[in-house]
Amino acid sequence: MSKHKLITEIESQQMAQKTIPDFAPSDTVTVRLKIVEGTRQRVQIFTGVVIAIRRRGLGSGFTVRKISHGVGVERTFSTYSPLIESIEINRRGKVRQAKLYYQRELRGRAAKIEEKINKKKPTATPTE
Amino acid sequence: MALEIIGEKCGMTRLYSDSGASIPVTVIHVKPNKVTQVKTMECDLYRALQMAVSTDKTKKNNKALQGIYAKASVDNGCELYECRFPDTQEESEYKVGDTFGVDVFQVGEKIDVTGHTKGKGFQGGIKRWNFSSQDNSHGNSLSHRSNGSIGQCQDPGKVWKGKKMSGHMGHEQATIQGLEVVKIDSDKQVLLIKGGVPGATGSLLRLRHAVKFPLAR
Repeated sequence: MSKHKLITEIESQQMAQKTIPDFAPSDTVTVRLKIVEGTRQRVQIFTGVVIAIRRRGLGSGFTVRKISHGVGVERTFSTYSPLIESIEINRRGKVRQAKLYYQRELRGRAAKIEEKINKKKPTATPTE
Repeated sequence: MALEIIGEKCGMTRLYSDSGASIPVTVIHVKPNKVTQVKTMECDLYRALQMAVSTDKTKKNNKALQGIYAKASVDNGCELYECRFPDTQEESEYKVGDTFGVDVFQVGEKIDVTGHTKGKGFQGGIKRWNFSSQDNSHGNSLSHRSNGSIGQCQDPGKVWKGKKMSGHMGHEQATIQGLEVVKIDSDKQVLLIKGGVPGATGSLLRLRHAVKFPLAR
């Protein structure tokens, strides 16, 4: 069933308040997260590989995985949460799956994701 | 202040608060609720407010209803409802033709919402009455989700009336009390209420001030 017109309005209004970079699974991102400790506010940084993106409009979220002190750590963020200060893309990855849960089974070199390099097609065909 | 208004359930979404909390909200669209008749003790032997709200539907009404609609000059597709006056309220505050919308409520106020739950069809005792299911193994034969015993022995020799059994579930009136009004948009006549309410999207809901959280007026 399609969403009610009024709900789409409410959601798009909230979504317009944030600009989300166009990241994809396998990209390495840095998420800057606002954390309130008592009265003090600080920013926590979480850097890792995006292993899943859940696209649901305002309810969207994504999972970032990193290896911290030899232990795999995953964190799921709500894409449009006001607690997310910024999302920065550090490196584009090249994968064929949308959900990279297989990364949980892999360690070290096996878990490495190839970098995506945008090869521009040459404008003129080289003559030999 | 209307006693009660009717709105249409549009569905659910979320609101992010500044502190980052995601608040689940139900979106309710309220069309103008128009007073069609004020019933008084002298005339009708009870005190109530009769109101109508447009539903965008065409209805075949009988002559009696058509008369009521014509007299109050509202269209025939309206949903008609009545709410009783509490003893403390005077009916002279209202007159035919008064319209009410979302502004009846305030942000932060608690309200009660009445609707009809989604129909679930014929259901067994486990879903309908939260019965326990029986063993899946240990020699159980064809009796995994059955109701079990329904009574005693020769005395009383009958099944008590009202015994919980399988049957039709859902599509019955249900009220959720004490839901918080999170946001009011009076331009669009939209009410955002924290939490879920009974019924399917597009169904009509009766909204009134919470019984258990009286407002300081």
